[in-house]
Amino acid sequence: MTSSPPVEGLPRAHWFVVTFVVYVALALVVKSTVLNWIIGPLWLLITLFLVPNLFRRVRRRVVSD
Amino acid sequence: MSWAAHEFENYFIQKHVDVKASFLAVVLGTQLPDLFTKSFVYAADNPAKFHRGWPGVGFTHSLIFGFVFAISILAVTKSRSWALGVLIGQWAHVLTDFADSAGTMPFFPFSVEPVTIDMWKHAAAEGRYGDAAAYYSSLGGVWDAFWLVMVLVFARSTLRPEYFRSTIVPADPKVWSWLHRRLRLPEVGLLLVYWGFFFYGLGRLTAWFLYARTDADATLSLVWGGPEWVDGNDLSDAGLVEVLVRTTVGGVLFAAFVWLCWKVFIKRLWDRGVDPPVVERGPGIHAAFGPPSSPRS
Repeated sequence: MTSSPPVEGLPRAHWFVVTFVVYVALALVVKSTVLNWIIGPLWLLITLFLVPNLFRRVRRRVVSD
Repeated sequence: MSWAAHEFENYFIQKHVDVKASFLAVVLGTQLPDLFTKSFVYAADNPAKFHRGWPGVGFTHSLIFGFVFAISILAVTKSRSWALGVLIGQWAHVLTDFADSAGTMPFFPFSVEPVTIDMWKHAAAEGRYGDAAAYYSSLGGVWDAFWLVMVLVFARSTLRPEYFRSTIVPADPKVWSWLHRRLRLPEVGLLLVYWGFFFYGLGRLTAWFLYARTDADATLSLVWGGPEWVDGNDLSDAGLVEVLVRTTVGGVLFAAFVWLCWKVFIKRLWDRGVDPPVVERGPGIHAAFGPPSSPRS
């Protein structure tokens, strides 16, 4: 059995720990904003994919300008 | 009511249905009973009665609610994976929630008797934050932790990227490829969506537990029927025999109703339904669970 190729762009494990700690800390402060059925399940996508991608895009634009 | 248990259940269920049901449909099913009603529960005069009773929206926590929803999905989309996923997810929610003091009416409308094992108190009358503090100070929080352990021990493989690639996507290729195309999400983005429900369960369990221990300063009460410092919300004062008789009658009538519906029109809907190419359904219960299953190695 051959192992499947790794998922491209998958964040390292420590980023999951960081985003979890941030999520819990934020949840204790702004409960209803973070602990809901929309933000909660999408938190990983937002913090580990969308925000880094946006950040990279902005940085690329700034560098090219 | 159960909290993070409903997120963890999704992965445990998926492990047992494999490619025979869509994961996103299972998620929809487990969230369905509270999806349209939860925000109104805390504003109700009698939250427990409104949430789980009749009159009220307690019918959302009955087996027939998931049954009707699943049949509607099968009729409209022809997707067996989605119909089964919603049905199993919603039924899991109903069976999970009978552990609190308000219970559920599994066989509504054939029986409106709440079924409960009174493991912890339904505390919605305390408001959302009070409810959270009570839940995570009682066996409710233990119930969430139990489902977390169940996933980590018996369904750990569902959290691996290879599982997402080999089972989750093939079980529902249309929706995942739609998300890929429409939202321009590469595989890693889709995987983070898949993991998101587990993350949310773990996050809310941790955050609410810490809130209960700090801000709310709630006393831990890990006894059957706790916490002791919250008033009960039992919806029925019927005795055990009465509950057993009513529930048994309701269950028999419900089973007969399902059988009749199957004979009259569901079998036809099921036969014209479609499956993803990877799915091979066995007879009876094997249409949804276990082998004989897919031809995959």
